[in-house]
Amino acid sequence: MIELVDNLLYFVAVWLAIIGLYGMSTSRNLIHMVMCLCVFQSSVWILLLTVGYRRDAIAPIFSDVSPDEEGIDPVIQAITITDIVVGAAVIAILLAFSVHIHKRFGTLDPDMLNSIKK
Amino acid sequence: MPELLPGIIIALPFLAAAIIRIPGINVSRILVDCFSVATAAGTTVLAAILYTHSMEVPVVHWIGGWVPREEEVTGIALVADGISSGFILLTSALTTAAFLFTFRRYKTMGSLLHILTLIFLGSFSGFVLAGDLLTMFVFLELMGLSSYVLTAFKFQDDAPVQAAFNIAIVATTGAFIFLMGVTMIYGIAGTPNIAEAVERLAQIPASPALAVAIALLLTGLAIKSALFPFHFAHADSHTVAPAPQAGLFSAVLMQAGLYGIARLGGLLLDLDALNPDTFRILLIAGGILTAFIAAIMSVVQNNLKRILSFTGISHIGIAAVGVGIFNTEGLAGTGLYVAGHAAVKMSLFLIAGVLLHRFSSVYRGKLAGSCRKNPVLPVMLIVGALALAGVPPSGLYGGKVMIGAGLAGSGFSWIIILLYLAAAITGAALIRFAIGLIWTEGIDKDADPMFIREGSRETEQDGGYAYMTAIPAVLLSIGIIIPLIPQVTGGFEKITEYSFDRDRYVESILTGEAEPAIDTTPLHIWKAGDLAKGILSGLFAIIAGTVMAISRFNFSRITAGPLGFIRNMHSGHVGDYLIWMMLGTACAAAWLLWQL
Repeated sequence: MIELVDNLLYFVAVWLAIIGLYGMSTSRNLIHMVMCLCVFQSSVWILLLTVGYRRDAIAPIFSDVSPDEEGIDPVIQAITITDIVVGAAVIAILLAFSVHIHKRFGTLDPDMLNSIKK
Repeated sequence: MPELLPGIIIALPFLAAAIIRIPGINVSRILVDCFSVATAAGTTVLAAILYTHSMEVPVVHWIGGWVPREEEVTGIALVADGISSGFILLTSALTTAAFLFTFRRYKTMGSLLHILTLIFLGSFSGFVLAGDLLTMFVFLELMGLSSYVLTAFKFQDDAPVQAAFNIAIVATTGAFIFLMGVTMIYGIAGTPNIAEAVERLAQIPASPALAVAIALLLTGLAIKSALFPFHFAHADSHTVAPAPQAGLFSAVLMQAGLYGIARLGGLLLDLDALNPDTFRILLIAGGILTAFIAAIMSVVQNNLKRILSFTGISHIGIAAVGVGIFNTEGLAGTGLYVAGHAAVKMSLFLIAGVLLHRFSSVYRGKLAGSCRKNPVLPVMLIVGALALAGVPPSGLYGGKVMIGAGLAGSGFSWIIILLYLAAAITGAALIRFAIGLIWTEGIDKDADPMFIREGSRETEQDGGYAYMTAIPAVLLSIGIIIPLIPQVTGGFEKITEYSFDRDRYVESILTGEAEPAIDTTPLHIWKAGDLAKGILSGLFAIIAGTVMAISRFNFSRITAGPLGFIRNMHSGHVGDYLIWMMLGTACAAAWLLWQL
């Protein structure tokens, strides 16, 4: 049963990746597309945390416990935080682009953007 | 002392970008210009010093002094070998040229153009020097971020914002696909350090998870390096960015992704558990498709910057074939090819910048006959086109000969003919445009069906044409004479021989000791058969380009048939691009799984 729960997290990551990509490629609104990108990024973060997680291990803070105690991999948690920051920067830039696109074209529908022709 | 250089090379541009923002410095245009040029030139000098130190053995910098203990990695490594430090040398030299070109005359929105270009340079060095996968990802995305904003730099026009949105969505998704692969490798090997991961993966059997992880890593990098079917958004981005920055993107940004493929592919696919041929076939097939589709697209464009962006993508396809062969000649040839192409392509983009500065347009219809009195620019374009087509003695010729030797070594020698043909088509596309600058016959001035809503000026005041023309002229001549220096071709073979050697790489990082590189006998690239091939492809480019230039038939009107199909793929619609990207990723993963 516990194994099933552990493996479920991988399925969550794959599922979020698939619906995120599906949402991005069929989106009719750029803001919605950016949110779908956020869902896709979340799938990678969940994958990262799942890879680093260990059952029966403590949080990697050894101030009041012996360093011999088994802890969760701290590297992966640091990486996840870093990647959330990187992702936030990209989202901010994409939203700024969306504002400019709305100013220039008066719409956020990607079907209506026609400034690049083949 | 040389151990500190990799860290300094990364930190210097970031520090300079921060200093430029200090109030007082950022109000004086001349000060900002001089400071940026000095920083880029300083990075070039440091990279040259690092190159001389890392020619024989890699220089490894452990950030904060966290050296490995008992062959267990505890810190973050920056690894400089001949290939990586040489690549930084190339990029910082081109960035210096870009800053010299923008001197005084380019619109910079405060000092934003300088800051973004410096961040681009710093994160590029970080990506190339990174010794572990996570550092690679962070710098890859930072390099992407600066390139997205530079793409949208002329946000007063319509096309730049749309292109910036497209490239930001597609390339970010690519970076996160790369991160997914990194995560899986971390899960399997238990370490992000490349050398340690490679060492541990060599001891475990192949599994579907490993195949998917490698497929995700390599497709993530292929999305960054604009291979088919991931190149669409890149073509838009290079078209609309300011000319010097577009030159940097076309000359080194895509090639950085290819460097990542060569580095990781060389280390990870050398495992006994995996069949390296699957990856070779994938990369060679993708490279040929990219080379031809982009070459055909470059013929039907009327915008000079868009022609140049498609020729750049076509040539990255040719370079990908060189990487795909994965032997010393192929990789060394790719190095020479990328170096020669970078100099030539940067100079061609700068020529487009001069045209835009002088005539406020880069469209064939609007520029028709504009250079009749002073044909310096068209002549330089034609020389550049011949260099692209592979006429000796350009760097692209030398690179192609070495790639051809590598292909012959692995039994695919017929492919080299295809590569010459694709390169000749890109040359013809450029010659067609250059002739239109002098001869107006056959150009429909009013109706331009390919008009992209972009083309406002990038510069502020008139004048300075001679100075602005001199910079691309110097770059062009460097790109042409590179293979004439015998140390260059031999040097490329020597540094690839040891840079892509798995055991040597792993040993030098984990133990800090490595055998010095041995001298190789350089390949003879001036054989009559190769010279004839190069000259023939140049002749093909001249004849086809002239015929296309003077005939009344306009390729850009074709919207049906196979050509129409290829054109309609480049729809500018971000959803289409994403579907192509998913298709490509799925195909790569399925192919690696099937061949497991």
